[in-house]
Amino acid sequence: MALVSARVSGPESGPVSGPVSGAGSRLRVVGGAGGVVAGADDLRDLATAYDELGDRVRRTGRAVLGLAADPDLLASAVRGPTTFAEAEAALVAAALGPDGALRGAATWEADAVAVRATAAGLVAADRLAAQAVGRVAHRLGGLLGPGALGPALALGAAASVAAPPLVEPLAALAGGTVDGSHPLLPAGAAGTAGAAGLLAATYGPEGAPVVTRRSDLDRAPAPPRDVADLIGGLAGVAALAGTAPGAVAVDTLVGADGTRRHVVHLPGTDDMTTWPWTRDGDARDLGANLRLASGSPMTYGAGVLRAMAEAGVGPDEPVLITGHSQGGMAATALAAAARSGEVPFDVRQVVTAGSPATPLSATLGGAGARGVEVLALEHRGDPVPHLDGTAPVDAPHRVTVIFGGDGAVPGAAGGAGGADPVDRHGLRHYVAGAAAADASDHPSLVAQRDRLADLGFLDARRVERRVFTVGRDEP
Amino acid sequence: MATDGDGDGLRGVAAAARALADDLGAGAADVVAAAESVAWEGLAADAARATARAGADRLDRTVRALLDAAAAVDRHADAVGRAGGDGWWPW
Repeated sequence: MALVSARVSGPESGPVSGPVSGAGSRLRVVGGAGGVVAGADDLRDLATAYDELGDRVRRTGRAVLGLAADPDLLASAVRGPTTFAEAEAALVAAALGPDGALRGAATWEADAVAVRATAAGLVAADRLAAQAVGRVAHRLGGLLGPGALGPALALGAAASVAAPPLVEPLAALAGGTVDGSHPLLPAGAAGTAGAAGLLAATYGPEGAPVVTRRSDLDRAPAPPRDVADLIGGLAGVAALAGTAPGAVAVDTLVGADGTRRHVVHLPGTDDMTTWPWTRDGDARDLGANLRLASGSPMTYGAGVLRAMAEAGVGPDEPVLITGHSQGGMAATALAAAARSGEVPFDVRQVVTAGSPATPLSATLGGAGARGVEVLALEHRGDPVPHLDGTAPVDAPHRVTVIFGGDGAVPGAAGGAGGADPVDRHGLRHYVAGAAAADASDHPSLVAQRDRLADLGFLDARRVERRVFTVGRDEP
Repeated sequence: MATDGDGDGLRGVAAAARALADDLGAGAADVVAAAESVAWEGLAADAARATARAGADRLDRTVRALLDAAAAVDRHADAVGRAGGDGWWPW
């Protein structure tokens, strides 16, 4: 255990302290750009096949013209002028007519050019994405120091944990922070949401949500008594995702008086390396992140809402959503939808762990019956929550707790003060950080705990857990 | 090769046209197979496959044009073989 400092960003800031524990699990990072290269190679092979066929068709056309000028055929004209004329016309048409070989040859060669251009565009788009990841890594270098750049680059593939890592630099390249526009992105695509929407469009239709009740995975936790228990509950659901991708849980908290409240747990991205041609039934993938960032309808979000309905969440029963990484972004989106009345649930609180802020965060708040507050936990050294490229939002409805880090445990690889930014994104640290927040007497955190208690999320008598998996039909 | 417009020479022209048609037909099958072997999905891959199928259809029409031409040459050979002419020519 190591005692490390924490900082609160909110209406009133000040130091707090708490214990943060040691080594934890790593995010899994696989594949990615190889799929792009393979696809481009296939296209280049196809273009070569078109070219070769074009040559073949052209030779055929010339051969047919040779047949039309065949001496025997020409000499026979006087012995059957009508049929000769028909044969000649048919041969010339086969070479030069609308369906003729010579015209077809030119079309095949044009097709080859188009296919090569497609392959080049694919590779260029991939290069653009790599540049975006590079910009993220550069930013991380500033945050973490030169020694962290390697892990930061490794995190590049994992950057799809949340859309901004990939999308925000793309937006910058397209004209967000750099004047002008990028040739690969059409005018009007500037801005995070626009770039995300553009990229999301390459994934095509998402398909319908597939929500499966998994009662075999129901393991009701003890009733939560503090923020650490809430994040612990989220960690328990995240642990299911390895064998049950898309696992989410709806914990129904039953109070002593029988009243019901609900805690919805949304783990992070299951498939961080999904490309349009590798997409499968995983709803929590890169495409979902892009849709999330662009504000597009998202199958995963629709699936979560369906799971909530199937779990019996009533329209007037208070709901708290926890989310790790992408899950936090999804939680914010769902809370924003609830606050605007788009969905029939009374979402009152969001607790995020390692999630970038999203533009939707600004739409929350409000002291009325539909007011939503956000408690955002950020592990110092975890790059993901920083990748929105903005300072923590300072707003009454949002309290950001930044904990850990500071090199408090030098050389402790994987530890809270270690140098592995991927490890620092792990939920284990967030449970510890939540415990630090629970122990703090900072006024903002005291107010948050009081609010959670007032809403009845910390004094339930029992918990009924319902686990679902949310996937999608492959379109 | 005889150059007097006899039937055998004309049948050879028709056969050559059919051989060219067969060759192109095989090419169409090859290119569609190549397009279908692009092992990923998405808008670009779908477009590539659609282009290949359209090209194959185009090639089929060229093949049919060649076969029509071969048939026309055969009919001409028949006409030449029947009566040394089709009766229209005055001598």
